[in-house]
Amino acid sequence: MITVRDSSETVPERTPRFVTPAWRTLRKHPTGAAGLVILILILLFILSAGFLTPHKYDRTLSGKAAPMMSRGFDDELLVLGGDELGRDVLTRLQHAGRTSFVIGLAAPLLGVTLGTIIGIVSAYRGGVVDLLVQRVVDVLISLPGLVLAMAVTLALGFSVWGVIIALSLNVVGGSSRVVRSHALTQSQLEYVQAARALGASDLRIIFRHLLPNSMAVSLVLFTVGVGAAITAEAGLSFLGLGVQPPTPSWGNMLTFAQQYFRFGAHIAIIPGLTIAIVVFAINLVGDSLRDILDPHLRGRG
Amino acid sequence: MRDYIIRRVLLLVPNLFILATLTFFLARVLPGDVALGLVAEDGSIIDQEAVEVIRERLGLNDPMPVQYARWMLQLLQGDLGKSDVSDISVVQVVTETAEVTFLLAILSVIIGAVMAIPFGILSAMMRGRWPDQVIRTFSAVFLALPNFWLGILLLLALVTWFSWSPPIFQETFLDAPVEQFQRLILPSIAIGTSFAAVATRLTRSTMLEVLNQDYIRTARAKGLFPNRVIIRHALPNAVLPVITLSALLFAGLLNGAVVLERIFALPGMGVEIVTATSERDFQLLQGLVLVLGAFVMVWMLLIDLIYVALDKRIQLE
Repeated sequence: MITVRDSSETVPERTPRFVTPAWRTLRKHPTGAAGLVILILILLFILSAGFLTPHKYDRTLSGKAAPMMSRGFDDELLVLGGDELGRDVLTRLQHAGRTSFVIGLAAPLLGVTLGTIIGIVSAYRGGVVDLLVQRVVDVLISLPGLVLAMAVTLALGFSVWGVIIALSLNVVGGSSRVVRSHALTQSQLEYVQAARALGASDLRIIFRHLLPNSMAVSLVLFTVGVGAAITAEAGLSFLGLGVQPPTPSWGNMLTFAQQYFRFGAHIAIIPGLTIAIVVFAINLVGDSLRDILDPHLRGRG
Repeated sequence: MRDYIIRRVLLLVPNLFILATLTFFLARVLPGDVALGLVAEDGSIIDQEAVEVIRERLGLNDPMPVQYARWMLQLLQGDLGKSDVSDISVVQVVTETAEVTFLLAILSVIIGAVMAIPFGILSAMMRGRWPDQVIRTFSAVFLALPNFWLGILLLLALVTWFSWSPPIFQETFLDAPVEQFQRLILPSIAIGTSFAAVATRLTRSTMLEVLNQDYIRTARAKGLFPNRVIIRHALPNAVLPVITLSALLFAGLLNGAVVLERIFALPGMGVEIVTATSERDFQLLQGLVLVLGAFVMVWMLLIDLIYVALDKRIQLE
């Protein structure tokens, strides 16, 4: 492929400046682009909850575990069948997607943000602060993640927010470690020393210099975290310790999968498969993003 | 080197202290306590007096600092305490449940590594050709499958089509190794394949990196057989990160296999922790979390120290 260095010649005048680079990036990373397309389709599917099907997610429409494409009591069409209480699986899948996506995005966002700030401050201040903060991080990393999540959800009640906070705590330790090691090398570099020599305050150095420079690392940690959080939510809800019924989530849709498998395998397969597809797409996007953002890892993996 | 080891080992002391403190407060943030549950077991009407008697006996009525001081003093004496519910010592619960959890973790890591290393090497050797594409696709797919879901599917497939379900029994591994293996193999496969997905990618990328190194070119230039170059020269260096990953995963699995323990009804530490949490058995919960956390800490320290000892390039501060 021939690339023209001077972009002003190739870009038609009316296209906004960011469109061409974005399109070129997508062309260069076809797997990432494919992941993005899958994610957008799934988001559209979730956002159409309430429009796509005429059913309610918490209404019993058919017998237990009605098969796919079957008819309910009032002759409604259940495209993906009914679940263990005869509720429409397709409608529940959409509503559950909202819960799972909100948790999947919010938990790593909260956790990585906190981890990033802790990591940078710990690396920049060094000394006693670093020593103390890292001891707490040591403990956070070695604590059983699920225990932490369980205790927090129980304490905060089984709300969506409870689960978000619980799962974000699992991310804080690990992400702060990674950001700290990155910030440690950064804070030794000349530009930080120059800023300090110019009389910049600590806060200014942290927020204007160190934070923007660790953004790439944090963004990669975030994308990895999304897939992990969706899976973790599913595990927690499966145990009955996450989002509680009647609010559906992809995890709690699987709770009864085991008992009803003989009557309707679709109850177990559909939510699990959905999680797998979403995580697959996120991984594709995340891998490409890592290639784009982190030059050290370029061309690996 | 010696100073580094001493410093790292000494740091375990504050770490353990913070861990013990955190587990204590982790238990106390749980709403309610064990007394209500214990009384409710006897009859449907909750006898308020009986509740108070139990609370008094277990010291749950004392102020929080007093309870904390008691827990710390007890730990300093090397006593992990007894379960509030069943009066069995925490140490005994650990010895009874650790076997399943540890065996599950070991078996999963072995299965994962045994799949990942050959596939990763093959993938690197055949870079860009169809075996590479196939292996990479599979690893991407298995990376996305939640391992507990894979566990459910495996279990149900065997039950439905082959009418086979894992045995249920009480004996230990030494008494009934075959049954124990049969019971653990399905969850291990479920966890192992997820792990293999990550480890295959890692093996592939480190292998590719190693193959570009000068010493490999030298070995080839000397006229060694290609297989010998791979096995004798490239493999040991390419496998090192995978072994590290396995060691880290092993630590993670001790904590993270709860869902699979639950699905396969395995009497492991994870399930015990969930039960202790739901019964508000503070002593048992604190004890189990402390033991697991402390083990993971020591394990990670060992990995670090082994690395420092093996890799001469690591410069200590």
